[in-house]
Amino acid sequence: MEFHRDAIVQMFLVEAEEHLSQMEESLLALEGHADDAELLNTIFRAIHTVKGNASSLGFLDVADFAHRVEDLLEGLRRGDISISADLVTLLLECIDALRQRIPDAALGADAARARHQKLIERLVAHSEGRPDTAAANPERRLRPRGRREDMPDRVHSLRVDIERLDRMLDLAGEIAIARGRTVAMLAAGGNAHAALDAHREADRLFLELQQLILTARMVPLGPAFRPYARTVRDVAVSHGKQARLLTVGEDVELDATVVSHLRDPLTHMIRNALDHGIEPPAVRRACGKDPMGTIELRAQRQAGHIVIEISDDGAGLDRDRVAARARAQGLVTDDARLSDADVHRLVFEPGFSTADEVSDLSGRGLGLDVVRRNIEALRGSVLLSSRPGQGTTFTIRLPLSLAIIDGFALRVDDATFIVPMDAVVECLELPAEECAGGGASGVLNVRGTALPYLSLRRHFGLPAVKRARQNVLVVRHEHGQAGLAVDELSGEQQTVVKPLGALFRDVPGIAGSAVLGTGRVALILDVPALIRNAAGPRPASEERMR
Amino acid sequence: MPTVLIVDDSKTIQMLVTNALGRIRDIRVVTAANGREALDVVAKNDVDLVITDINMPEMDGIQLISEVRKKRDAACLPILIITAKGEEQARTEGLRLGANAYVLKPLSWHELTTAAEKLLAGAVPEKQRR
Repeated sequence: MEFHRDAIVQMFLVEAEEHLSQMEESLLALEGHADDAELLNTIFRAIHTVKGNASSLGFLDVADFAHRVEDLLEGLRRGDISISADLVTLLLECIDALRQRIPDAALGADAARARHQKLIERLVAHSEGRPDTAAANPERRLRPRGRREDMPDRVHSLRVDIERLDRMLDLAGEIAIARGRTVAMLAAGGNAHAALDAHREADRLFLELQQLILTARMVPLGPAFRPYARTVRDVAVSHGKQARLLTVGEDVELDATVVSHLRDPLTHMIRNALDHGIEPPAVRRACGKDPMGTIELRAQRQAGHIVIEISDDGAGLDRDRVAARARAQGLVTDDARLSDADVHRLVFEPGFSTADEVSDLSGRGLGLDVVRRNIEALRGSVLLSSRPGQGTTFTIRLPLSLAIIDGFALRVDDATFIVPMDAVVECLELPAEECAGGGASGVLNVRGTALPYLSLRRHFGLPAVKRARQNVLVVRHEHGQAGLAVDELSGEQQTVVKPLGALFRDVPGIAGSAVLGTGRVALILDVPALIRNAAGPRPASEERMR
Repeated sequence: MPTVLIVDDSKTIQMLVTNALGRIRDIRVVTAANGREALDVVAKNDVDLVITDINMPEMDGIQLISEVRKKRDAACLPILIITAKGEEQARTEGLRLGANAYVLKPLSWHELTTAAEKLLAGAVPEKQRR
């Protein structure tokens, strides 16, 4: 038995965490739907399983603790005790305690046992229907913990259906056969057309395999969203506010790596919403709002992208305060007339913060600029919109996958650049008089609309060559459209993205590299950064602030 | 080689039981996460013993026992219940509906393997009974 014990304990740890998360989620839901018997049953079943498994593995202290929690839940189920905010808080603390004790027990050390004695006493008191005296003690007030943020990225493993793996193996086999056929044809010196056909067949199979691997990496956002319900509750309670989290689009799928990199930015924006957005209950009541604020996390697919919105129904962005702060920071000149879009952009500037002192929410010295950088590192973009008194919405756009993009290839001399296909609007020819001008940038008249454009040759300092014809690729970015003037438009191609080495990581406007069919390296352009960079250095450049 | 179906929504218990049974003799183990999946397995495979938990989502162990007994009697498909101390009422109901025996959680290896062996040895395959 001991031989397999490690594997079983590992499984126990994974399952226990699943059960605890489920309990947590159901408890938070139960707070709003106290009479939902099914929620209570789910919670009960989860703790019951944890208890049974712990006892079967010999973790008797954990089993005993779980048993006390079960007793309390039994009282709830019988109707002896009724659900209250204090009770939910207590049960959430018990879940945290189990989260700590179960891995400890698995390692053979249950160090937290003594510390949780008080918790057990409170559990017993609640079970016996005695009021929780400790709850009145502000010292015990629930503090938002860094637990989830401090946890290492756990997405190093992924569950894949056996059927999917079998299909991949099948395809790999079929590709081997198709390749063999091509080689045999070439070796026999046969018909080149037939060999090409055989090769195309192998290609088709290969693309199917690639697609299968990409989809195997996709995970639904639900499990990533759910822990935020707890974050919202904890942070709101600690700030004397009331807030709940609504999630929409939990079944929307996204690459596992992207999901794990989203956690910090999302945490930050949610905390931001609670800190700056949601007003205290009294203020909300005075405005005629529900004293309980709502934060909504909404995910949806939009043409090759995932869009995630984080919105709150709070006070909205304080326009005047943002403008004043921006002036004080030297981000804008005193007499600048700021549009709403400008204001909404300013909050993402490095070093910008309207909080007069660093609060524990926005704490850890992070600003929204870090959020923007994190999102852009995922080849995404983030925008903010806000209406006074009605709330603020962050909109994040992300590509479905980081590994492969549909790209549009451009050439300047021998250099190839790739623009992500979803940024491409149309292709134009650069008028002759603009070709002659030879500036790094200019403005074109496109069907009566002014289109700013950038010469990639000038921008990247390639040697000036006079060419009779130049082309313009019109791309969209977060604030509109712009043109990229190049020698040649090579067209659409699927591109496997390779990260850049450390030396080139901070070159503005370059997102990565790719190896072309010819064996040459192409640079993948980061359109938003390229445009920002070309639009002239903002007064506070990122370099200075770092 | 006899086939044992382990029905439990917890993979930990599935692994524990598989491990314990694997020590006594060669068996083939199939698993199901709830009663509904278990019925499907029983319909499609020659199962010689069912070991089931009681409290499971979708279809619990009690319903599973009652469904299995509609088709196959206690002699040709024995059922062993894994149950917690507090589940006396459910356990009794399971036995009444036709389960052959039960073992208590926390699981004891000796108890589990002895009970399983005894049931496997006593089971008469349906074909031989005709």
